[in-house]
Amino acid sequence: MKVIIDHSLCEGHSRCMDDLPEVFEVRDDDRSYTLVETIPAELEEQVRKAVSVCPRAAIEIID
Amino acid sequence: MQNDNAKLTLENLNITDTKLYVKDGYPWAAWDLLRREAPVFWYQRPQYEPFWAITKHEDVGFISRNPDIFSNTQLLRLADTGSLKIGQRGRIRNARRYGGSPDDPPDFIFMDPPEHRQHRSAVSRHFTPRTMRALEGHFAQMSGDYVNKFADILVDNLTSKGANEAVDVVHELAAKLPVAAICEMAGIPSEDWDQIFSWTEALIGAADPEFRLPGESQEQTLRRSSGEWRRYNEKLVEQRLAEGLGGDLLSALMQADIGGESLNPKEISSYFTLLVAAGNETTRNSITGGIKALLDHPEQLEHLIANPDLVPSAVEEILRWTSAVIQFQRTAMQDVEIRGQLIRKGESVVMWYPSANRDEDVFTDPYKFDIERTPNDHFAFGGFGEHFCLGAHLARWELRSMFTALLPVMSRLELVSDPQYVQGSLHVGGIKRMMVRSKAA
Ligand code: HEM
Ligand code: SF4
Repeated sequence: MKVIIDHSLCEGHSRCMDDLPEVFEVRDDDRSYTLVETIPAELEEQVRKAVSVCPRAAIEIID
Repeated sequence: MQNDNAKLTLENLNITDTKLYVKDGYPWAAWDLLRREAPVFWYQRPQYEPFWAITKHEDVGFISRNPDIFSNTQLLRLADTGSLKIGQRGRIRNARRYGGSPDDPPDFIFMDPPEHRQHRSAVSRHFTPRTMRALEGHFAQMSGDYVNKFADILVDNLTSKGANEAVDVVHELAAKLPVAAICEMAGIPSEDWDQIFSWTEALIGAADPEFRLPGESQEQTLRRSSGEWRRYNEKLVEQRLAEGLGGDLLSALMQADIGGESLNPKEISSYFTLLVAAGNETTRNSITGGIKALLDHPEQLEHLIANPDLVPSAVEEILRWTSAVIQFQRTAMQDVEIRGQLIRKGESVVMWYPSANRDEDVFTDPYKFDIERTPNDHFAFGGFGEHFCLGAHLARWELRSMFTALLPVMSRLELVSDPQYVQGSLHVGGIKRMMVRSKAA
């Protein structure tokens, strides 16, 4: 699984990083970045959850 | 809250009659029935253009994250045909006076992507969690001051001749912080805050005669307040031009770079008004509604007083419980199915947020007020997506600081009478008065 974060939407609400600091990092520009290229299989479920609670619907699963 | 004499059915239920909102508060029983029997319901009633009533959390979420299908540019919120005409006449007048076309979006809520994102980002960094955290201490101090003043009134009333007169918690407490917080961020001098407050009350509550000047019609109130406010904004812009820009919201709008262009004066004024107005009645009602919820649930209040670190979680539950915004509307730009129901291009959908926030598929025991509810992915700030409330973190920090400051006072408060609701608004369901007093010792 891979994800992309749409930076025209993300406003640093940080729901993603609160739940999954090993995958998402909100930086000083108030945008979230992924720390891994490919999501480890054991985190896929939690990443799906992060996608659904992002207040701006900014995280997209690409494959 | 079921209406006891007549049986509620899909044919007779009513979720648009504002008189019922004033009398009974939100129409919970009707929304429950819709979620259960007709979650995508073609609603036809006199004085309203027919629309699809959307009452499930999942469907509100679907609409909110698909702005390409569901547009904000046609209709933004449900209103009766009379109010829609007043709005249209206002836009024609404004275009005549200030240029542009009546069809121009008044502010960025009325836009779709990609324009919406460009315009929203002109100010969005002023509202991020990081920016808000920097203001945390300041909010705590303001809340503390307002609560102390309020507590003084209560004590005075209790001790002066034992009359123990009731106090209106809306005007003596709940209304103050939201105006102060946003006006400070906006760079509005404190001597003008009262005036700003009465304009926002008039713009949002014009359907209620209490917010009009004597003899005014709803339309005249809207026209006067928006005209006065616009002239005020123009004066403020001139002042900034003369004295230099700062770190405030008005300066940010004046410097906005939207794909190489700046905002025109009409846009600067309406965006500024939007930012200042959007958070007043909403946050105020969440404070009032939160106080009522805690007083109505003494065991939850006690638990919170014993565990003040639960305030952030209690605030989320207060937001869900009060759902200060009733609905927003979208228009389908193509044929689309929701829950197997075909919505045709051009038809409109109305998302009922309080209903989504009582959806039993998402919230266990949704009618239980539970300050420790987890998860609590409520839609009080709208469904997650393009238009998610820009002020969500500002509102959260205001509520957190307010309830933290209130805790020591709360256990001494009692409600004197049922709250009085604002008349005529199908958008922000407001409590305009709620009388409380100190419990006699
Ligand atoms: C408890 C208080 C508040 C509640 C319940 C609330 C609720 C909402 C809701 C339901 C929406 C619509 C979301 C959608 O269409 O998907 C919204 C949008 C908005 N809110 Fe709030 N709001 C609150 C406080 C504030 C504050 C303090 C501000 C201050 C700036 C604010 C500014 C806005 C703006 C500018 C939008 C439009 C966003 C857009 O279209 O991109 N709100 N709010
Ligand atoms: S939750 Fe969404 S908006 Fe918030 S930082 Fe993560 S990606 Fe960005």
